[in-house]
Amino acid sequence: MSSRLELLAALLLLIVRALLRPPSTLWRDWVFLLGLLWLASLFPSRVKNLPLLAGALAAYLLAVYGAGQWPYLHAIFAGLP
Amino acid sequence: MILGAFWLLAANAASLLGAGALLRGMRTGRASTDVVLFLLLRLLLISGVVLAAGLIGGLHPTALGIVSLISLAVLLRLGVHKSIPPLGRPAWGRAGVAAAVIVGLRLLLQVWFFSPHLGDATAYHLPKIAEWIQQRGFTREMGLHPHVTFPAGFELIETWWVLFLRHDVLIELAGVEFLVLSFAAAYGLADGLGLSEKSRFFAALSFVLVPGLHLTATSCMNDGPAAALVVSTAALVLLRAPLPCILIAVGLGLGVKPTYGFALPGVALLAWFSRKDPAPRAAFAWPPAMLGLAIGAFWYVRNLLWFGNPFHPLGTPGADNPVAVQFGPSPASLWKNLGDLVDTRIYDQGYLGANIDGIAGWGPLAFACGVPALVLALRSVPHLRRLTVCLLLSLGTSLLFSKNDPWHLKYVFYFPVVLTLAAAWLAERNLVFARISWLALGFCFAATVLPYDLPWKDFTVLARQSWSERSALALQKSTVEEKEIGCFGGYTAHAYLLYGPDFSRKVVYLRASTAAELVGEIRKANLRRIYASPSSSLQNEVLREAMLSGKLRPSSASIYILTD
Repeated sequence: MSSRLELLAALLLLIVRALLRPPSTLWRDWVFLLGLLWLASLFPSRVKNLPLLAGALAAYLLAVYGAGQWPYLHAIFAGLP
Repeated sequence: MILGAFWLLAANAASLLGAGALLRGMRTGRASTDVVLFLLLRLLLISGVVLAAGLIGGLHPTALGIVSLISLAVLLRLGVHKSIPPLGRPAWGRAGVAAAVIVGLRLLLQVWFFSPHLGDATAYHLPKIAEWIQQRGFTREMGLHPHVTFPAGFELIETWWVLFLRHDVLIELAGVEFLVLSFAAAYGLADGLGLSEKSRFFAALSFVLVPGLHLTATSCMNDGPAAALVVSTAALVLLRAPLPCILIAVGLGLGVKPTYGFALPGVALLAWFSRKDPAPRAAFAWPPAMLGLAIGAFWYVRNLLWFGNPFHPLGTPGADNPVAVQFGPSPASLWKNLGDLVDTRIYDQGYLGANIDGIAGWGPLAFACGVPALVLALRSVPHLRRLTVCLLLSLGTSLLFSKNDPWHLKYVFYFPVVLTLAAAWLAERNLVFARISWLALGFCFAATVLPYDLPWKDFTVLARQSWSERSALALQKSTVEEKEIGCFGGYTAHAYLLYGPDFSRKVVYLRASTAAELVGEIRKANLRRIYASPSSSLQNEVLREAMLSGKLRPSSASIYILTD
């Protein structure tokens, strides 16, 4: 895919997602965040350490996942409601 | 029991050596391909033996034990054991080896302390095994659930693990065998992508710790095995294994679960992408391939002969089946399934277990690390790009053929392998990402200790029982002392638990449609107690009338006693 087409696709993904999802949930919407990473990856000269940025996103998504899963995991050991 | 354990050891030694002997004729020279092939050949041999024994009424520990012992002697005489390649020391690093040992040991503990407990398993996968063991061969009677006629390739392997001991204490090893296959197949895919040995290991370990897949291994469900076979098929295609070797996996997969077939378009596309890389020929592999296809086709042919429909009861008009699955493609299902996955289920905000109610079960590593890593990996690894496109096609076709219910994502447990491969690739290149990935892997480990359907409270009940009496019937609070019991109900009836862990109790299935018929059937079979779990308004009415007439009275949970 040419970089211009890729840029268009990444922007389209971000716009569509922003239109489809409530704005208040975009901060934890993995597709939107993925779109941002994709966009950043198109400018390697400006974003020096992409793997580190991916790592930061991974840590953030792990926290999002953990916050959502923890109550259920805890209940399996502490007693299901 | 000691003799049974001896037969079990002999039979497993024979099947391992037999698989080794078959592999000699089809070895590709690439270790990761050969390991996948070896595991598939062992499963093929076991499936073939149990299928043949079931057909001729030879599902008897002594009969199969003697056959195994003779086979073992012949294989040893032929010197097959001398051709076993020495096990090289894996270059996984100390932490990697320690993690593999811990996961392996925990699996063994789960096998030992878990007992079949999940609804689907106890209602329709396992009752047929109990009947086969009791009758020493395949039976027409398989239980009351509308799905008992579904293909039972995985049940053949489970039968292997209960047959010799005549006890289900090791039944979960069948699922563990497929988890080992998942590991080998993911490792093979990583090898095909050119990842280092440490990264191959990390990708494979991450894949087998995908919570849904891992918890399926010890749940007596066939979704994990179906996923293992999809990934194995993809690995063999990517590694350019000879066509008949791939067909072994296809045959076994179709026999385990038709949902395996939903993923095949993506695998076919992968084969098309790889068409220019020459695959070696292996003429010797055609007979095992034919056997694999025959084992897979067996269930469909049986259903065609018995019911006139290879997919019975799917497509049967007017069939009273409240747990019906979709038959054929549906673009509406694809749209809804995809939307659910992307918008909500991938976050796993629900209880993790083999049945993943309303979640994906892909876990923290595939989700949090795999997704960002994939964005970068797709740019750099052409083979991963192809694999991702192909498995996305598989995901699409699987969702196209799956009803939008809370559980359909268990049919796509194979897909997270792409994400774990990407995470392993990036972890190799960035230390910070690697550390976050190991943290996520630790989370996966914690999330796969117990499934939600066997919470700590219930687990301790099972663990306190002696191994020989361990049964989830205790969790149902049902008390059964008789050696014979009736079973009335439908898809909610946990019929398997009635047989007992040593299959010593006879279960008579009651299919009455009126209270008088029910009482008549109970009397005719000379039963004193029945287990009833009505699954329809008609069955509720039948049971209610039988109690109102004073012929039946409740004695413990779901257990009713005949009053005269």
